[in-house]
Amino acid sequence: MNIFSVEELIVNPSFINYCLRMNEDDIAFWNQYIQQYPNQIAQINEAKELIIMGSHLLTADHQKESEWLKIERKLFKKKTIIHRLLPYAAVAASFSIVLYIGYLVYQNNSINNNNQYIASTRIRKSFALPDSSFILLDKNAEVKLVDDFKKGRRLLTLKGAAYFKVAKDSLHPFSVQAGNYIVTALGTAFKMSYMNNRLEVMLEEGKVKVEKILNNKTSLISTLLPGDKLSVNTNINNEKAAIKTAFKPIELISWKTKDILFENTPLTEVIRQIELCYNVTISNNSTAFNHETFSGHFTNDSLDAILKILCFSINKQYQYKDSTSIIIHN
Amino acid sequence: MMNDKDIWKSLCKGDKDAFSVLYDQYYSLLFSWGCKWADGNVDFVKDTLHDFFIYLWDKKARLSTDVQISNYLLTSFKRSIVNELKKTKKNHTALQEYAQISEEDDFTAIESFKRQFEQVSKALNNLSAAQREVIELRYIHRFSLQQIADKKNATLRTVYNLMHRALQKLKDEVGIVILLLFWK
Repeated sequence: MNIFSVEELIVNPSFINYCLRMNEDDIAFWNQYIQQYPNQIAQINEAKELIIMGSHLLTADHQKESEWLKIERKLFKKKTIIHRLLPYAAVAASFSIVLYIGYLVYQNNSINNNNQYIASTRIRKSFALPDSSFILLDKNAEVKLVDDFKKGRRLLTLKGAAYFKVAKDSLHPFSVQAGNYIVTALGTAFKMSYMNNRLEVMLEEGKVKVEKILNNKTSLISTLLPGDKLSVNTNINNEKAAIKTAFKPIELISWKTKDILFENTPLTEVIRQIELCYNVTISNNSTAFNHETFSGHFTNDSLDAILKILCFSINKQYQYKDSTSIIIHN
Repeated sequence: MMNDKDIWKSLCKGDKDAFSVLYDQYYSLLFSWGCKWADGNVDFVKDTLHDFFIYLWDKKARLSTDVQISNYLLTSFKRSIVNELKKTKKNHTALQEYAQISEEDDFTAIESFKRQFEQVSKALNNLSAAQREVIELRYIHRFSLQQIADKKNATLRTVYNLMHRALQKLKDEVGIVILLLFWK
């Protein structure tokens, strides 16, 4: 029989995997071991506590800086009131934005032959899908349409983080697959991310179900309602892998608006991204939108701040029709 | 160098720098403490801790100036965690269990947690930057050794050795911890 001391346990890779639930075989092995040698439970628990504490400490140190920035921004960021900053030239300068209007040959670089949508490492990007659903891809994210998307089976795959605004179509469910998990929606809006073996789904409106695929069969993990967030550790294979919590609307809004970057971006794309980020609809009566581009960088700015700068640079006006619809006119 | 008491007093007066020093000193301790009570739900603890610091700043003027800071922070953050858990309305078994713990037990728990935390954090801080990075990539970001090798542009052998030395060093450090823990 192997007797392990606490020191030996904390450096045993298989035991670490068991504590952090990283490998099925190791989990099974140590569960079995505990059953077999119940008198070692004290050492096991001691070592497990230390390992888990170590992992929390590393996680904490890792996110400490970015969490501080969030707090700082929330508590100490000076709120700029744009109305005071007229004339407009001063507004543009104070936001340190490069404004550049050019007539470019409109390039549709959004989609390649493989029905694949990709955002670069530097810039987020939004797309309209064939069924008029919209997606906002975070940096480095990637979405692929699965073969017969156009025939009505709306299935796509995701890597990285993205926000989906799904066009209503009750006959054709909209499904996003990430690893062995599949999120299915009817008409709804949600954010979903899949990286480093973590799946996260945040539901803004409507309803989605999250399922797991195993041996070609799907089993229901959870059904989400607006305000629900589901986090899944995809390395774990039991009911503990998925955790459902509530999130505050501001969390999703600030994710969407934290980094809006346009670089010679066609105006149609600019408008679409603003619509997605701020949950509004923007209409216009101009044809110029098809070939003009816009550049600017916004971080957690108000909708009005963005619209003012945009309209100033394309020499137009905007007006609210109601709280969520806006019209841009001459 | 300000001590804990001065930092706290400055915070109560609304000193932003004191607030950031306090954050710096206590973030990781509070985060790990929260994870202990929230079943390791790191995202939940992260959000609750964010709100907790905001709350602390908002009510700074009404804080008592005469407190034992770490105990005060740990106790009130645990209260936030428990309250938030209640809101999710899930029948959290842990919740009922913890509700029954008396204040005295709580105090003992805080003391032993602080001692354990200090040792673990000392052990991790003694790792070299490279050693710490492989540990982080492997166990926080859950990279495989091969993925780490690819990322660091190193051979699998190098990563393996680095990992092995890092764990060995932790073992030596924690060996001392264990002696201390059983020395109660």
